[in-house]
Formats: sequence, C-alpha cells, structure tokens
Amino acid sequence: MFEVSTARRDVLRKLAERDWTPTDLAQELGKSRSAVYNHLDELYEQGVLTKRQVPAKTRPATEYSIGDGVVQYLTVMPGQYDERSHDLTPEKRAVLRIWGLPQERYHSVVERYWWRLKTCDAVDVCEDVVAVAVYGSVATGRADDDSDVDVLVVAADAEAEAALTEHFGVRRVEAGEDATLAMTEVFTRASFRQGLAAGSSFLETVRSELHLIYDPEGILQHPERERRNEQ
Amino acid sequence: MSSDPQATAYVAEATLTVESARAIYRAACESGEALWADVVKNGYDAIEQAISAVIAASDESIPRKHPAKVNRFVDVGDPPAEIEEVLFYWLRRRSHSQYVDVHGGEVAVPHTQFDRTDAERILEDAETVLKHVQSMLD
Repeated sequence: MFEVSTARRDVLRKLAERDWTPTDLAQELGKSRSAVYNHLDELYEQGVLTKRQVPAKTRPATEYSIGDGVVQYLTVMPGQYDERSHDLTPEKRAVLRIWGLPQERYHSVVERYWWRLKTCDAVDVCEDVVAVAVYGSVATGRADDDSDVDVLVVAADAEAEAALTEHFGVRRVEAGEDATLAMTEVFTRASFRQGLAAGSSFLETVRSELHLIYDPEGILQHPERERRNEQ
Repeated sequence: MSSDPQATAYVAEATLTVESARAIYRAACESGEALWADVVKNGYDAIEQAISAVIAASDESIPRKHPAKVNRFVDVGDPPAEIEEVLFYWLRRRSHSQYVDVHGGEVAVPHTQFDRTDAERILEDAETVLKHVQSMLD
C-alpha cells in the first residue's frame, strides 16, 4: 500500500514510459536526486517497484521499473478510467477508483482519507473494512467549496464499526493548503443488510449515487444480493 | 477579531438557545417525558450559533451547510483540540436528532436515540463552546 501524492504520481507517470535510474529521472522531472530517490525507494520498499543493477559509465547504476503490477495505475490517469483488462488487487483498484471521481480537486482529499484509513492503528483494512464508497456531491460531481466528503463504510463487525466511527466519523482531511471535512457513516455488514431489507431511506438514497472505492466482495455493487441474503 | 455586530448578535442568540435547551431539560425532568432529543437539537443549534459568531467576526461568509460551518470555524478560529472534539462529536450525532430512519432493521426515531446523559452532556458542551467563543471575541 502506498500514498499517491502529486509528486509520486509524476514519478509513476514517467515510469510508465520506461525504466529509470534516480539520477536520470531527477533530471527529467527537474527535481533533486534525493527527492526522486526517496520516492523510488519507498515505492520499492512497498513492493510497487522492482529494481536491478545496470551497467553505467563508471560503476553499475540502479534502475527502477514498475514491472507488471503497477502499470494498471498508469493506464488510468484521471479522465482515462479503464480497468477492464487488468487483474487488480482491491487496494490497487481503490486508488484507481479514487482517480475516477468526477472532480479532480477531490482526488487528493480522498486519496489522503484512504491512506489514513489504511494506516490507522485502530483498524485493519483487510480484516475490519468490508467496503468503502463515496456518496453525495463529491461522488456525483456537484461538490462546491462548502461541500464535505461523504463516505459510507461497511465494517466487519460491531467492534470495527465502533473503532471506525470513533476515528473517522468526522475528520478533517488536509490536502494541499486546504482541509476538507470527511463525514463517515459506518454500518456493520449485518446492519447494512438489515437496512436494505427494511427499506432504509438513507441507504435507498445513497445507493443510486455511490462511487465505489473498495468493495472486494461486491456488497455495494450488488445490494440486491445482500438484500436477498438478509431476507 | 473584529467586534462585528453580527458576531455579537450570534453570541446573544446562542446564549438564549442554550437557555431554551435548559428549559426543555428542566421540563423533561419535571414531567418525566423523554425530551432528550429536543435538548440535543437545541444544544447543537446553540453550538452552531456560537461558532457562527467567530466566523462573522473574521469577516468570512457563514456557510449554510453544517459540516462546512464547523470546518470554517476550525479554519478561522483554530480552536483547541477539546473544542474541536466536541464539535466533531455533535456534528456526527446531529442528524440522529432530526431524522427517522432504519438502523439495523429497526426504525430509529430521534427520541429513542438520545438519553438524559446525552442531554446533560450537550448542555455542558454548548456552555463550554460558548465560553470559548466569548473569550475569543473579548
């Protein structure tokens, strides 16, 4: 898992074109070698990049590559949403889906939220979080300066629901110079199903405008199936 | 902070709204009717009026949306963590004092979502926020 900042996205964009040494890439991007090296090294440590030694003028240099795994991100720059032919992990797909939000100004906000969720000590995304989606004006592209980011989270159980509500119920997300408020509604999987089956007006309203972020089991994508399971 | 007449009016209004929340609380205690959600609703209104005073005094526009109002106050007022915590806590619970919906298969109505402890807590919190705002504007 890794955070995709603007600088890191630039690095990944260049790596989509070809493999780079830190020195050459720094020159290409007009940034310091140490800054570029830090991005490359962190991405390597997180398993996103591979590296290999290549011959150079005086001594071997290290060349970084996106390999096969991350090219998916790079085919999906904002405005070019396309995951059809790629076998993505749910976490990689989440980043890609964030970039698919209609208003680009919210990409960094939701990226930051997602990053906080994944790195929060109180919850484990793989175990405690069943699904995440954005709804409301940010999901539909009607957000303005006063809009908050509305997030629906389905938690694995009541304990995870409590932890997620405490840490993410209302949260300021700083991205760049501004801070946006993120409001998170948390359901357990059971209460989500029960709400659907009982005709919750909240769930009925938001289901038509969900922008999926993380849904490995497809419960937000197939609410009818969840409703049937409850009934 | 400027001594904007609008800010002064917001503080006066917040003070009265806290009083109305207290009056509902007293009536609930005396009558035995569980009017706790109404105490919360009025208590939250008082909190919003108080923070609106700071926004007005900063010559910023006062957002209409509830989350944006809290966010703008945090931007311009830079409140201590405990005040921010109070605002976020009640902002999150605010909608439960307004709407009927289904939670966990049961119809949830505001009057079943809050108890006497919640009512006492928001009265205390509204008072704390109001004092903080008054100290900022003095």
